[in-house]
Amino acid sequence: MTVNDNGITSTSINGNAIEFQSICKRFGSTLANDKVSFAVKAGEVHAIVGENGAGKTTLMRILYGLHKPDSGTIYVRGKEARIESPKDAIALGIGMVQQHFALIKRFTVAENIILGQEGSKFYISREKGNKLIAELSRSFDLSVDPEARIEELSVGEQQRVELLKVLYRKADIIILDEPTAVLTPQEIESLYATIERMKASGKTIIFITHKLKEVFRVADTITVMRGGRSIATMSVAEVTPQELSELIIGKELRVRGEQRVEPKNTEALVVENLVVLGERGNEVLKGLNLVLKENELLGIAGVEGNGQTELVEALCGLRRAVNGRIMLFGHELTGTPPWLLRSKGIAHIPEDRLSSGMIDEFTVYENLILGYQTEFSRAGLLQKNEIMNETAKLMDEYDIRPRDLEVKMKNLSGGNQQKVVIARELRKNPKVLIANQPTRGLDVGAALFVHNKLLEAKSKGSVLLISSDLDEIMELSDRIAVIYEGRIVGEFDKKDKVEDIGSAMLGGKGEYA
Amino acid sequence: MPELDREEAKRAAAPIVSLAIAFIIGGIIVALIGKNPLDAYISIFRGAFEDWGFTLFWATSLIFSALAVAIAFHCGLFNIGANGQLMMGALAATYFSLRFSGVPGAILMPTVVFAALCAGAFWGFIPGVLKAKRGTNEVVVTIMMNYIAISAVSYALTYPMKDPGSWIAQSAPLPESLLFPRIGNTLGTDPMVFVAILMAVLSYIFLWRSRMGYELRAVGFNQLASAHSGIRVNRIITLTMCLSGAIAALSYFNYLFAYQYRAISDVLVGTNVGFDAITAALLANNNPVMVLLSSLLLAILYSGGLTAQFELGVPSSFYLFLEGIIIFSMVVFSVILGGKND
Repeated sequence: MTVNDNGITSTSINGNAIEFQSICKRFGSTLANDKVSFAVKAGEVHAIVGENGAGKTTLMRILYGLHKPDSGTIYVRGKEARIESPKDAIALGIGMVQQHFALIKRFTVAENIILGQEGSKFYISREKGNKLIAELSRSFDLSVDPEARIEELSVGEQQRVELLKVLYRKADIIILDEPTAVLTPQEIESLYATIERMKASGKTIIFITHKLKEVFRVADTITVMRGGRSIATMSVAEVTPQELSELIIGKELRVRGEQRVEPKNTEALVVENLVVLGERGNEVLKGLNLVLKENELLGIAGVEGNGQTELVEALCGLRRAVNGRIMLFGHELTGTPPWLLRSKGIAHIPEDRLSSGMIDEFTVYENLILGYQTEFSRAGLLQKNEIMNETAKLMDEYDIRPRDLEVKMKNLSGGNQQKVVIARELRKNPKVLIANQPTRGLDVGAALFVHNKLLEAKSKGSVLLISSDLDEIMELSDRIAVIYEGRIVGEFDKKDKVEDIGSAMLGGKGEYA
Repeated sequence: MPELDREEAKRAAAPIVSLAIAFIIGGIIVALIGKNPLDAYISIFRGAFEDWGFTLFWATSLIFSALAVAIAFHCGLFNIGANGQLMMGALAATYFSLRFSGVPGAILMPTVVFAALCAGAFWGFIPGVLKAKRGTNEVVVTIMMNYIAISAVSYALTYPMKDPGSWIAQSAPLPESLLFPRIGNTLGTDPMVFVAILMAVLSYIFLWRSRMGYELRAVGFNQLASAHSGIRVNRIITLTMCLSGAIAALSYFNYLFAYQYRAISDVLVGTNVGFDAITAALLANNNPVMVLLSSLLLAILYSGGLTAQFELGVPSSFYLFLEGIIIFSMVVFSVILGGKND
């Protein structure tokens, strides 16, 4: 743990790149940063971890000149720095890749990188820029075509452009705000490689995340933030994941593994030889078979894009089955429209809650009845009292905050939004719950809550869990099915080796690292 | 969260600021043509007040179409076709009134209303079902439906439904039994004004208290999430357009049964109420109760504008000018407020 008692004067290589002293920042009634003090050593990868709303992003935005602190001092390389705007930060060699990229979609990669850095006012030296970009891409393992337009790039590639932009501006203190939240597993791996390279070339990296796995993978030093305060700073070697998660949440939490219900032998959901077409008319599911037993939690593991989305859509009546059938306790469900599936006991936690799980302009109570509005209306009129009573109960049970039924969904944090979706879907104790990436983007505390709820749903019905997070699948599933190119290619017990599952996820070629 | 509150406040302030901008720019234009802007506005408001019957009459007509536009907006649909829907409603009402003129009014009137609602609903159904099933842009289809309605009305009133005794394209006089009473025989005091107010209240209840209103708004905000939750998105889109068309169909009732007592082709075809309704709905932020106010305000500007022309020589097209600036300001506002996502 570092203690900051007096001003640091050292500017040696092993000194501090950044030091925060008593940074305070208030937004309205919330204290986003409360006397935050810690130091980031030059040349290290420093992870800042904490739940959503712990104040990580606020602190970084202060460092980058996007917010002004109410009080406190920042030292950059030992010198007190006044950072009024990102321009000041850039001049100090600080660069930031934000969660939402600031790229002009119609411009090319090179144009975006050079933008604002052209040197001469009237003449942009394209060749010089392109050459520099190519060099940077090579030395930091950031492959991207400089002539491609941003709108043609994947999210991962866009992030690389942002990184190149920062490197092009010769930043040597680089802030990454939840960089992996938007990436696929493969892209995450290549980001790690880039971080290694940046570190090797002497740059300091500040890495904001709420995923513990990542911390142990890339960080040298960890600072934990909770409720706006910096709780502790320590080296990765000093701490175990368990200890770290306790520090983050502030109390000990575990998945309730002991009380798990054993699966029965009854077949709840049977999928036989399911064939489904994708957007472009190609076969995405190519004869998929799967059996979900009563009180079973079946995990579907697989690299994204192997038919998971289409499987869920077919099960939810949103995509037509070209061939094969879906049975629920022996009754045919194939071709049943979504509005009938609910009454048959199928519930669904969608992959992307923002686009398909909720209506952000609706209030919390309106979202809590979405899909069940008929149940809450009589003679075509919504029964507001009933709705309010029921949803107030759900808000208590699921600890949805703020405790305000009339607040708009868009004003809730991601974790609370997901709680609303889950509360709604579990309220009727579904026979089969289809949970698609239910903890994506959630912090440790919220993810744990969701895991416990999934296990609860399994004890009352059965759960089909689709997740690209293999740890999550391993921890919760009774049985694991691996999906690859539209088929289930292997079934595993939870006692099986992760390597074997990983290998199956890649088509059984054993390439999983 | 304070930032979000500010966003809400801006949305609420948009109509007032837009009106202020329109009045200021309008004033400058009036000054440029050598008149005193203050006099012009005083003349407009005094004129509208003195001729309150006409103002009320005009507002009544506008309210129905504005409600139609507002409800469609809540479902994410831009119904430009209120004009065509009201024409078809008027045509159907005229036809049934004349065809069954012998039937007692107490039975005939509900039949006539029902026929008009059906005709308007049908004129909304076509763009609605095309949107739902084929993804056709409802703006384009409703505009085309407007032209079809104009042709249909002109044809019907020039040939099959023309009053043989008349030398212009108009229907025969409507049966006495159907004509609306007026208080003190003043224009604008017919029952339709009360129906309009009732309709606004019902629309409000429908949107925020009924199940279908809930589903309609859900579809308007997020079709994908609505579909996932089991709302029948296509059906809601089609029904919303039908409902919108049906409400618009009542817009011309006060012309027929409390003013002209027959359908006059040139007047019906020349109506612009369905377009003014878009301004009224925008200005009311699509809130049905606020539509009452915005419609009244536009009616004041229109009716008073005629007085100002008479008294001061300010062209009556000044009204169109103000309306244009109001729309423009509201659109600029919505772009500013919603422009964050490209």
